[in-house]
Amino acid sequence: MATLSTRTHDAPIARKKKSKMNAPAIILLAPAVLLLLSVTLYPFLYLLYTSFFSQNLMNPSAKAWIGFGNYAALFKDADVIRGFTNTLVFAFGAVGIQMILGTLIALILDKDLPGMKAITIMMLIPMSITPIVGALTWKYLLTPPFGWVGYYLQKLGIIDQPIVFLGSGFSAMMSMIALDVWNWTPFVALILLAGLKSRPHDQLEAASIDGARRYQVFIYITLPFLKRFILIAVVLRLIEAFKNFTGVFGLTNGGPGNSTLLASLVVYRKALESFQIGYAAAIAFIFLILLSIITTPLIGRLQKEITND
Amino acid sequence: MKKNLFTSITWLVIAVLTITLLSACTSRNEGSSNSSADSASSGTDGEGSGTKVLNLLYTTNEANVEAIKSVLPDYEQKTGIRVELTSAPYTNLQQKVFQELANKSAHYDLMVIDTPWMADLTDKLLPITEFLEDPEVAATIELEDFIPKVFYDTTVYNPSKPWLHASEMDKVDLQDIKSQGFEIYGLPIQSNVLTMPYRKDLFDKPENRQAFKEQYGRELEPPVTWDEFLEVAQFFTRPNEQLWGTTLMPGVGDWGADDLKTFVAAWGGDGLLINDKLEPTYDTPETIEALTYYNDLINKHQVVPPGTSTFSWTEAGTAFGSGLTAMTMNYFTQTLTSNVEGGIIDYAMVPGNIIDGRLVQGPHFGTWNLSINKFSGNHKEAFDFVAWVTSSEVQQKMLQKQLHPTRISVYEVAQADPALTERFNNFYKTLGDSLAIGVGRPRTSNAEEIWRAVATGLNNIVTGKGTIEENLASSKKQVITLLEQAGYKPGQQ
Repeated sequence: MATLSTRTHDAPIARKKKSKMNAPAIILLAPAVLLLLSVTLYPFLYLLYTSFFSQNLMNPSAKAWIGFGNYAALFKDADVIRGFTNTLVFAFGAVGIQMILGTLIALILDKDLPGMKAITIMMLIPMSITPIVGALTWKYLLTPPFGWVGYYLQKLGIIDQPIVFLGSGFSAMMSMIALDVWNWTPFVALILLAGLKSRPHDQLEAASIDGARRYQVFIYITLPFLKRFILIAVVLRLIEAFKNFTGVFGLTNGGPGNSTLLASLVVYRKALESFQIGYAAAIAFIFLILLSIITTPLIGRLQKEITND
Repeated sequence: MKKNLFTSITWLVIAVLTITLLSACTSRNEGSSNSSADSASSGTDGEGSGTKVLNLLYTTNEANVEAIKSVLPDYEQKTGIRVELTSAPYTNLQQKVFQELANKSAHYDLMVIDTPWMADLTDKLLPITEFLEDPEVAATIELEDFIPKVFYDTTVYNPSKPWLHASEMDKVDLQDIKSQGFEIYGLPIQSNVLTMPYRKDLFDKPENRQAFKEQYGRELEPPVTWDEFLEVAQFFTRPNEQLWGTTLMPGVGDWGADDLKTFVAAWGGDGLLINDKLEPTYDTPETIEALTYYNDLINKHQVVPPGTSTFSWTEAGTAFGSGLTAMTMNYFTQTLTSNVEGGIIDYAMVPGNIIDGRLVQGPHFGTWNLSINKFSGNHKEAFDFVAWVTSSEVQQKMLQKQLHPTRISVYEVAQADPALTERFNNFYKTLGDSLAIGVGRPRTSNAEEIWRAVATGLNNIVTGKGTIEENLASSKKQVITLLEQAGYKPGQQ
């Protein structure tokens, strides 16, 4: 009873103490929190708000509330549908290949062989090239008759006629994926290499003593250990691949026809070429929702991995 | 005790931060006041020397910025007014112009405007008709010296119905323009039109001339009709020698539409593609014929380099410049890379077709207008500069930096100048002649999207996605949707 009485008595004091202690902390944190909200929550809400208006930047006075009008229109817009579909194909295709190649490269670079440091540094070059420069260079490399790729494939007798890589929907999409893979596989390899370097050596030694084969070591020790690094790479790369703009803008500009149109390019054209800011906001909002649906479970899984550790 | 000390220090920190923030806000307010003061005195430089300054927003290569730069010191010397030039490439320029004007910014007094943007800008740029009516100005400006087609297409707009074209006269007539309810929104500074650069060295080569005569029974000359064009292109197409007849630009972008409208006009169709009632006019038998010919050049006769379906201005220029084609079509003078030994370039007009006994041509043209920002505080000074820089005398000086003039008299001077003829052969004659018969663009808002919809249809045709008829119908439908999205009612007057 006495205990109960004490507890009942102490509770308000504890709450008071707690709130007294928290007040300065809250005030000190407030500017940072406000800043964070102003650059994240406010743009998000403004995007949502704008998406309910018919608004053209060149004629701001004609802004009109149209409710879900922009959303109704975008689901009927063939370019938007194609943009979203292509974005899914591009993002999953590019990131999938990057993960496989990145893992292989990381495993090779993890070997204690001569020249690996130099190779690691050279491997980072594509990442350091400005994306638009990379895209335009690739465009020239792939465009016959002056593109080197077709020229050398012909010289080597691999093909008879020049291939117009950017001339069909399928090969243009493959070219865009190849450009992204070239650009960002080193990034994936670097993350996974960091993971490999931090593997516990005692487990590897124990496996070796027990006579485990290489593939068994990879499947039962390396891969589970790399899981969280793989998740980090997948999340970061998926987000970036979904937002890819420079690659498509510089390499195909959505062509041939509209066959490589990505959602980011649709938003750009609506917002910055036609200045239909309300419609562009609605597309961007749906894009954001789609990206959240895809990445949220991955981030949850990553947090779980870290917590389990 | 320790806790009290901690609390006191925390509050002290908060107090200091608050005071700092407040003082920062005060300073910022003061800063804002200064900034206002600055903008009130805009038009003079910041050193207090009293030199008047005009800010000019200009493009880069598209309208030969070097030509403008070359004469600015002369203007400062003549008037004491310094013109500060900011240049940006096409897309950036468009965004900057639109952003500045949408914000009603007074910073740029003068802006160079591409004609497709005008539909959105007539209420944001200053009509200069009143300035031009001033007797003193009228006596010196020589409006009739401007190429009429260029002048009417570039600068004459109806303020309340900017999609309309004024009826053109043989000479620029200010009173007629006013009586039609139109205003003048600047003066044309650079006129670009499709010409046909070709490899003169290949055309002049005796072996080629003889072989061509044997094969076609006539002399090898720059083609005048599209039938001749096909023969010449086929003659020069020698893939084993890495040589093809011509370039085309059916890649996805406005260049595809520029190609298309040139061909449609030559087959007797409406080269504008959209009429003044804002109805697409290119779903016609003439367009089908023109597109059949165009598609055949690429896919049937294969007189273009492989990969042409992705070509824009850049790739077309590179292919011709590298010596891969005998002919091309472009706005600008071309150069050959050093590996093209003995290469000489000359220029001819883009071919046409004989219709009812008359040669019908309609090369696409796109001109640049030097306009005055309505929100600028220096209207009169800005107008004086526009009048000066577009004058015959100044345009003649800018010829040395390859300005594409907008005045008849300057073309006469250019053709008589041996130094220019030696450098560019027939370029200026071809340019002047082509401008006189060129076809401009429709005047719609969201022109960029409309043009891309047209070009996408063309690209689909040459890459084999659907028939010509299917793509024309689909492109037309898309253009109507885009026009409606822009607030137009196709069919309206």
